Amino acid sequence: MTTIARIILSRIGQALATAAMLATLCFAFVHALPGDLSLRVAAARVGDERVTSETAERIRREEGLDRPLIVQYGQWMGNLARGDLGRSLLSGKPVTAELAYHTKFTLQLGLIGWLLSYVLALPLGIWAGMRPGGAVDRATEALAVTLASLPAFLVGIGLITLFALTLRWLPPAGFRTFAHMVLPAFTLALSLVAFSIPVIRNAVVEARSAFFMTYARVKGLSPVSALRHHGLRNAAIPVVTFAALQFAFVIDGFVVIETLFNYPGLGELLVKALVARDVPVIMGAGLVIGFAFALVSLLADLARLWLDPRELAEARA
Amino acid sequence: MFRSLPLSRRSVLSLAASATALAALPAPSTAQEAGVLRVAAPWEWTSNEPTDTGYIMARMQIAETLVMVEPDGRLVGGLAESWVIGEDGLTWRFRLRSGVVFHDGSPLTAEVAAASLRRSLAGESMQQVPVASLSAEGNILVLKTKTPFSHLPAVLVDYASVVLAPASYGPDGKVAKVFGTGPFNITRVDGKTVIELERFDRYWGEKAKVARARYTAIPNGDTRTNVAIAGDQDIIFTTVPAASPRIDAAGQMKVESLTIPRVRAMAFNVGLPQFADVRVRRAINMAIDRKGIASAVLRHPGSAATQLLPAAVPAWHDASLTPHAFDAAGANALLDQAGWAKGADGVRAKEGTRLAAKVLTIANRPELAVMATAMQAQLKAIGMELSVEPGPAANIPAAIKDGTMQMTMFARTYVNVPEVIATIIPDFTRERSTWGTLNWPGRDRVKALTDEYVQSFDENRKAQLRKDILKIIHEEVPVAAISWFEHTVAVNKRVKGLVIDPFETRYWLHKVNLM
Amino acid sequence: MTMLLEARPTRSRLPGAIWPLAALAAFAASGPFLAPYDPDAQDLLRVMEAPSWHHLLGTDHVGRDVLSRVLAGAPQSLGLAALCVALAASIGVMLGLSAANGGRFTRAAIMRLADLMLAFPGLLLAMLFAGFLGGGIWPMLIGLKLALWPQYARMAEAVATGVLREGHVEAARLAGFPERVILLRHVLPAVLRAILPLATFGVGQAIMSISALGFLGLGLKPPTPEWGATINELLPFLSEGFVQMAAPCLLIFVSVLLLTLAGRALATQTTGLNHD
Repeated sequence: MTTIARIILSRIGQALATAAMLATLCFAFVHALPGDLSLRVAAARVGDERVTSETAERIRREEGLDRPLIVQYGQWMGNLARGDLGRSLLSGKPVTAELAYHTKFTLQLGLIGWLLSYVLALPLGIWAGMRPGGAVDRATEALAVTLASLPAFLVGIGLITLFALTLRWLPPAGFRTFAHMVLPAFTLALSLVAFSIPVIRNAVVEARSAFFMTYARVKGLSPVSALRHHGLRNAAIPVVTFAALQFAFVIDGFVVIETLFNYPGLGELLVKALVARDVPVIMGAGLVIGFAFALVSLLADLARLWLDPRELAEARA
Repeated sequence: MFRSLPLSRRSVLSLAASATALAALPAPSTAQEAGVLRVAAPWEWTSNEPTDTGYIMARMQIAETLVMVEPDGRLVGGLAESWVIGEDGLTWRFRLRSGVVFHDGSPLTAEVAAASLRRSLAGESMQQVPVASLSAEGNILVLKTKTPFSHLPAVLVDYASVVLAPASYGPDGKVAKVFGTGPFNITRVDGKTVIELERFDRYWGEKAKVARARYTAIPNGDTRTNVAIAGDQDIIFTTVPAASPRIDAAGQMKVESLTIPRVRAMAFNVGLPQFADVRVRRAINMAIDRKGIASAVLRHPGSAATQLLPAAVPAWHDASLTPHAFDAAGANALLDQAGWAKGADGVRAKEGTRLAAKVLTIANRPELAVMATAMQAQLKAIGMELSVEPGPAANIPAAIKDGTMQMTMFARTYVNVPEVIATIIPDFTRERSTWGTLNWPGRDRVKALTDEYVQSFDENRKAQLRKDILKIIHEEVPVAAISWFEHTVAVNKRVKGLVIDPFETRYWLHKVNLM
Repeated sequence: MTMLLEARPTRSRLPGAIWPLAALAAFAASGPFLAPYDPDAQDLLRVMEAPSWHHLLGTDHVGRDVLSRVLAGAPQSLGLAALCVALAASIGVMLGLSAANGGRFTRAAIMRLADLMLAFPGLLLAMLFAGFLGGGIWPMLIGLKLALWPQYARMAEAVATGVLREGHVEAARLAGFPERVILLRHVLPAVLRAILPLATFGVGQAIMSISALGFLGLGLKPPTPEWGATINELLPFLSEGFVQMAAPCLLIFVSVLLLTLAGRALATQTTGLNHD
């Protein structure tokens, strides 16, 4: 157990360092950009058409944005050490509360979309991999390439037009009920499926041609049960690695999907915070995304160790 | 080692399955929506502060102001039943309505109103009031001004001055929880997007007909269109005008529209050599095909502006002014006369200055950039080169501050306060206005008139002053109105009794009933 | 996402990958010259007209010829994407090679930075730049480039490290060839071979990112006829102008599809070469 504990501990340390660096980068980027920060905050607060230089001055004074940058950054870091991420310049609410609220929604959508993508991709990928070059293989390949060539917003518009506006089966936007989740989850799933089908298919092909599979067949197992008993575990290794990376990668997709479906997730929060230059929220979100990214790759590594104990032996050595 | 763990792959799968179930769990069912009035608008509930989101509190009738405005522009009592101005022209006495309670059950008193008002003096229009003192005498709120300020009651309609209960404020002086006096009280706020409301049964006036209401913020215009097509809300404010035919055709909701005193306008930096001559500004004004833009871009020919403000504010609309009209030949003649000659590139120039400018527009209002690109083509015909730069709204005050502003195009409401003078003063009397004139010499003449207007209590004299102010603006065009806003509201078939208010200070939801 | 490139060995030859690329490049280069009208010329009396002989794809909401606009938009959407990837790949290769060839500290510093930037969501980074600076070509280019380089750096580093360990490189080093020559002669070609399919595929991804930014209204400033922005502009008129809306959608789809297929073909080609 100690080996694993050591791996986990060192990786969590790395994750924290990455997260802090990412937050610092956010701080640097936002302040390096031209334009008056207080004016942007003011515009977001009182509305685009009511913002004046006087309002901006008031906010600059109230929020202490007139202090030297190094002092602002130092204070943020100091508060961070005490677990305090500060308050949003826009809403005045604690950043932790804002992040928790939006992260919850993103996780919910992400998890459903991600699972849905595997519900679709696993059978198709395995089926295709069982007979490389066959009709099913070609069809799924065509499907994957097609989906990979469609931007998420087009998929979303298509799904909304068909299911919400024409057939009226589902609501076009929102987040309050499960029915609201279906279209965004499918939009997300379809963009993920494009990349998971070939990975699963290739993994199955590789595993099938491996030596132990031939051996299992020699032992007298049917092709399907041979795959079930020996092949899948080995095929799962690259798939798990990829799936975890993919989960971290979908943040990009969230921005477009959340905007399109009026869904209050992390991507939407971040875009709004960027537009409003809500520095504490941007830094907080950077922290969360960096940490989640590192955490997910840690989970992937653990899953790989579990599936392939040989690697654990290597790690221990 | 992992192999010995009691966790099998199958149990991981079932774990994943239960995670999906968990994610689905907090979702309530849609069936229980029958009695809920669902209202959607573009604005998010970003904070609890009246200076920031007071307009949502006022429109959704959660919190109220001392003075209110009727759809026809008359000022009526809100939380103040009546008011009088003293002999000195400085002392205002507002008699508060009796029997008013806040949503937390506490009573409205003059002290509470005074304390709430003191906090809201930072708001944009409230800043103009030259407050000398604010005090309570029994159930009378006494407001003394340093100089006569004849439109004070109108300024008190501003949403920043909504009155909140003392319990609303946290120890840091910020609003922690909103307790207003309106016919609806907040039961739950879900993030920035959803506010759940219920009828306030101890409301002092006409009680709401529906028991529950829900406000949903949908900032994206295309998403609002989709929701309207699907009929997923009862009332949607500010739908995209171009999408009205689609929404109507879908048959779920019908789009109602009303011309309101909200203006899409362009402003010149009059201090620049190319715009200093009034003839050039007039020529540019004549070269713009407002009707064409209004019907093609905005899909509503009637929204082409003929002067600064529409007839919806009769006091500030002068029918005797010659309407702005499209006359490219006249514009060319005027420029020739002013000495601007066409160069080899087709752009006019005079004394080394090209007739060219960069116009800043607001990216959040996509129609502005489209209108500006339409104007780009029209101005090319009179030898003016226009480049369009959409950006965040804050770019405009920033460009004015650092002196790089040449032209701007923006949307401006002239009735944040139902007396237009409150917007004319910051926009047309200062050297540098964010949403108005820049380096315009004519501002001093307007200032003389507005100063007199503010101090005058003689209605006939004020009517004449209004005419004079409008005439100067109309003839000197430091700011040119291009189109007026169509306030578009998509209304579900089951909604009855909706009042569409050109002042948009409140949505009149208490009168709405659901079929 | 690069996993899509793990194409199965097929018998495709280089020309198979070259044709779609050449066609796209030709389209991007010649698009503006094929446009029958000025893409920015408006006619407010003829808005949202259905396709006709005058306007093969109809007109848009301010009466511009849609065919001319999508043709004129080709260099913006395709060219900009290619430029982004080219720049990101050169930065990535340069840093990747320095990491493979440098000391322990250089390597760690570069690779940590790459990891860090990988964790930074790409589109958001591009937005940060594009949105703030008022939507110009340069900010978007910087944003997308910054978001893309770590992929190339990682791959370049991995390939270069492998090549540097190979026997003939060791031999060259022992024979006294300068480091620069070894890098240019032995390492760089191998790295480029590995990068090419990824880059081809990356151009397709960049097209999608640029159009997504355009769709969110954060892309190039109007009246630039970028495809994503065109979709965004025409979306409210969907019921009146299906053809007008479908044209840029289809162009994005076909371009990305061609690039994906070309990327796969190239990947097959290079893996084939590696196995020889």
